[in-house]
Amino acid sequence: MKLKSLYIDGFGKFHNKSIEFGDGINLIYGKNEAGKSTLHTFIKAMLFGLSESPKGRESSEYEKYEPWTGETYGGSMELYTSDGLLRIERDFKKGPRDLKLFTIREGQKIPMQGAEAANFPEGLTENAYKNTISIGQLKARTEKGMAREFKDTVKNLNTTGSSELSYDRAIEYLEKKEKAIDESIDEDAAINYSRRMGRIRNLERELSEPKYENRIPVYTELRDKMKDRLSELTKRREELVLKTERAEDILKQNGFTDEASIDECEKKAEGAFSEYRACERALKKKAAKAAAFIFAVIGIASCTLGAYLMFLSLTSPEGFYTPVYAVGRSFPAGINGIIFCAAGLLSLIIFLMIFMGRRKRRRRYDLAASSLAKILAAHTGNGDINEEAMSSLRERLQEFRKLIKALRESEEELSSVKDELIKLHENHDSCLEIIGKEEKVRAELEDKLTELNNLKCEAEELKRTIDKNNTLRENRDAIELAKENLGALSQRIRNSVGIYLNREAGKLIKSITGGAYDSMDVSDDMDIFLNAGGRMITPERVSAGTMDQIYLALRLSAVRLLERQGRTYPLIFDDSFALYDDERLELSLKAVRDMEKEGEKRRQIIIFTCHRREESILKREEADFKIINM
Amino acid sequence: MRFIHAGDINIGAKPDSDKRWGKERAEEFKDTLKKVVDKAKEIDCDLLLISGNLFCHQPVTKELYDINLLFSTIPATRVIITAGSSDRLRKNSSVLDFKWSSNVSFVLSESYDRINIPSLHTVVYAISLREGGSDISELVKEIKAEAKKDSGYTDILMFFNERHGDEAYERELTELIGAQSFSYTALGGAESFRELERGRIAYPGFLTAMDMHTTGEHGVIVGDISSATGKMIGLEFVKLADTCYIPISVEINERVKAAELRERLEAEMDKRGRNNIYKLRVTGKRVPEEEPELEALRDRFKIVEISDETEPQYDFSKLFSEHPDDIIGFYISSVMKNGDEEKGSLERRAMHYAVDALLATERKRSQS
Repeated sequence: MKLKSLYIDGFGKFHNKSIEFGDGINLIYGKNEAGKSTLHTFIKAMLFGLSESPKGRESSEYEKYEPWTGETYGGSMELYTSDGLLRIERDFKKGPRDLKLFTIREGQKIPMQGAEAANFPEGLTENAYKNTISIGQLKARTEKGMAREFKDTVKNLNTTGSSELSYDRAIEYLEKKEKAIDESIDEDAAINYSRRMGRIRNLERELSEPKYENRIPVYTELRDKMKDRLSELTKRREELVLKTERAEDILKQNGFTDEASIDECEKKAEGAFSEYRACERALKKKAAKAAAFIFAVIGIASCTLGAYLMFLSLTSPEGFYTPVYAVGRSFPAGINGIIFCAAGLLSLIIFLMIFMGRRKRRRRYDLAASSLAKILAAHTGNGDINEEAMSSLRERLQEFRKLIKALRESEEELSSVKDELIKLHENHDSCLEIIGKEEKVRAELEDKLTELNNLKCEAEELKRTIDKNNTLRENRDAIELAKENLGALSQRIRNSVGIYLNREAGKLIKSITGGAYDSMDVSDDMDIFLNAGGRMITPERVSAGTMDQIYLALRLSAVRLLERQGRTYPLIFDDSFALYDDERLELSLKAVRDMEKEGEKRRQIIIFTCHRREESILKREEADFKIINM
Repeated sequence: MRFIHAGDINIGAKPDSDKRWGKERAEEFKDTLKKVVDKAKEIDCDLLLISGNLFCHQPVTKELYDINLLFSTIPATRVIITAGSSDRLRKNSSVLDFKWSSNVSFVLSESYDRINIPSLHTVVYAISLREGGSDISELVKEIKAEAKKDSGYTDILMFFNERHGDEAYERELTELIGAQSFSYTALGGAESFRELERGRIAYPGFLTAMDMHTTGEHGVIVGDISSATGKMIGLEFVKLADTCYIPISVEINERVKAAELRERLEAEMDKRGRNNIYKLRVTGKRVPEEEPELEALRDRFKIVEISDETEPQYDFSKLFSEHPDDIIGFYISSVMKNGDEEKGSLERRAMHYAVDALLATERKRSQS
């Protein structure tokens, strides 16, 4: 491929400008700001169109090269290709990629279509153009930098097939991304989550244990009931105490201690009363008085008769047997006297006995009366002894008995109340104790609940982290896959492109350096050595001038890679030698000239420059070249 | 009779606990409840109905104590609380023996409570959810039978509907509740305010937004029932919560620059309020270098989630034609050949990463 000519309708500062290119070396000279880059961009734009996407903060290429004057934006370019003469026309007003292609046969423009047009421009890509065909200034200004750039280029070509694409840096870039992802992945989230879930399950199981059932309401109710009963019982106890005290007082005041004392009192009263009554009855009996009187009379009479008879008998001769006539019969006076005396004495004894008995009874009567009167006086306030008083006494005593019975009952109740109170107090206390315990259990439960609630929050948070982790891991997997694929592709490139490139570069290096270096060796670890007659030299140790040549050789061998299908592309040097000293420039131009002549066909070479040095060197060397002044 | 119907107050919730505003959010649940109490004072509310999930978990005594203290400040408002799905009654619940202020009733019955409020001429039938579940439909039937006897009273039914959102069930429930039996049915459970039957059966929604599933405004229902007729006079939703969760979705194209996208999002969030919480989603194709880099927005706005689903605008077929002889072209052709280019597939994403890495680290010689 060779550029024949170009015509600028309107592009940046240029308007109606045409340029004819020579077959071999074209030296396009222009001072700074003369429009060299505009022209270069125009060539590129004719081949590939303009880019519309902005470059960082700058405006897009399309915007940047809008013509300063005139209505038209675009132009045309003619080039020789393996298909013959080709004409490119582009009207950028229609769009940055507008393109019309023609073949020119016998001066006729024939539009190109289909596969022919698709191959335009001769299988050359914009990328290959930018990175290989068009050779800009070497970025590196120092020897070390140049060596590094050279090595990078070799490496890149070997591993990616492109001088500008770096396998190592791409992998590094991916690893950085991967690291950033790894840093944001919380590796512990899953295990922390499952730990928390385990704890949550355990806590939930624990909390559902019957132990934690809330029994406080039951016990509180019970406690309240007991409390009521307690106050009720306490009140009752007080009542009972008062009652018993009062009853005891009453009894005490009346001289009673218990039922026996009442019984005794009653017995005494009843005894006295019946004695009193018996004595009274006996004393009141007239027969006894009469009998006593009779016995006294009979006794006296009998004794008198007896004494008389005795006297008779004693005074009578018959003595003892003195008869006495009475009642028609005779009786011995002595004997009868004795009998009468005895009978009289007996009667008197009987009288005495009766008399004494009555006296005794009287005394007993008095005694009974006085003791009864005392009792009655004590209980009824009046000592009168009579049936009424007695019946009152009996009633009263009966009341006392009732009182005692009530007292006993009260005492019994009191004691049972006291017992119940003790029990109730105990129960109440134990109820309180249970409530206390339940409250402790509840505190435990609530601690666990709080823990559970917190754990659930944490688990939720962790769940979110896990989801995020999963997304991040997927990204990491994608990066991992990208690395893997890049690795495999890179290996393939090394095995095919790399080997070819290194061989070609070696050949070119040998020719460019005039045999000072005869090959280039790239190790498996991408260490690069230059073979200087059997000595392996690292690029860092090569002089700067030679490095330039070698580097140029490498760039050119990359061009050769592109040209494997038998095509030849032009080489465009865009101010590439601006910073070279004269010696280096000379060496480089020599290499360029070698490239021009290389092979059967001549290669077109376009050098943009702002110096006149190239021109003078080429002239001195008597080289065949064309100068295009801008 | 004026009433406020609130639901799903979710005291104790800690959403966004991993975010810098997490503490603030946790407080907001209590703060919004305070606003409900203030609202009750402001409108001389007679009845405050809380239809479940006052707490977002089984409450402990301290929490009950705090809430009781708050409700004790509105002695003239009768407060009726039922348990919902999160704070359902269990055998170990502390609420079983909690002593509430005289104006507060927490429904503890196994079936339902009939709460008669003669001063308001109102009977409230309330169901609390229990551990093991309650057959709401059966209970509603029972309540309907009992409510028939309350002639002349305003009847209100309240419970937490665990199956909220199940449209068929909700229809069934609406039919079951019927048109005549209750002046109002206060439901709980739904995320946002919704009326199953206009002015008669409603969910107030979450009192405070919980997460991205509870977008929209949050507050309470304020209703007014005529004591004379037992009919609803007015029912409205009143916004009380400060925070809303707002999802913002933006689709970009290659003409949108990252800075511009950020500015647009900032403006949108500023417009909607910085107190709100946002979820950002950006989709579409972007210029490869213009990574949205939205993370920085997190410092100035409450953003709970950022999903950058933009794809660098790589035209793979163009890239392939530009790089036919190098690793980029080889990579693309291997993926295309294997038919792995399906969007979102691991292979495609790997290709994105690989191409991105190669282009990002490319030497820009030609630009010099």
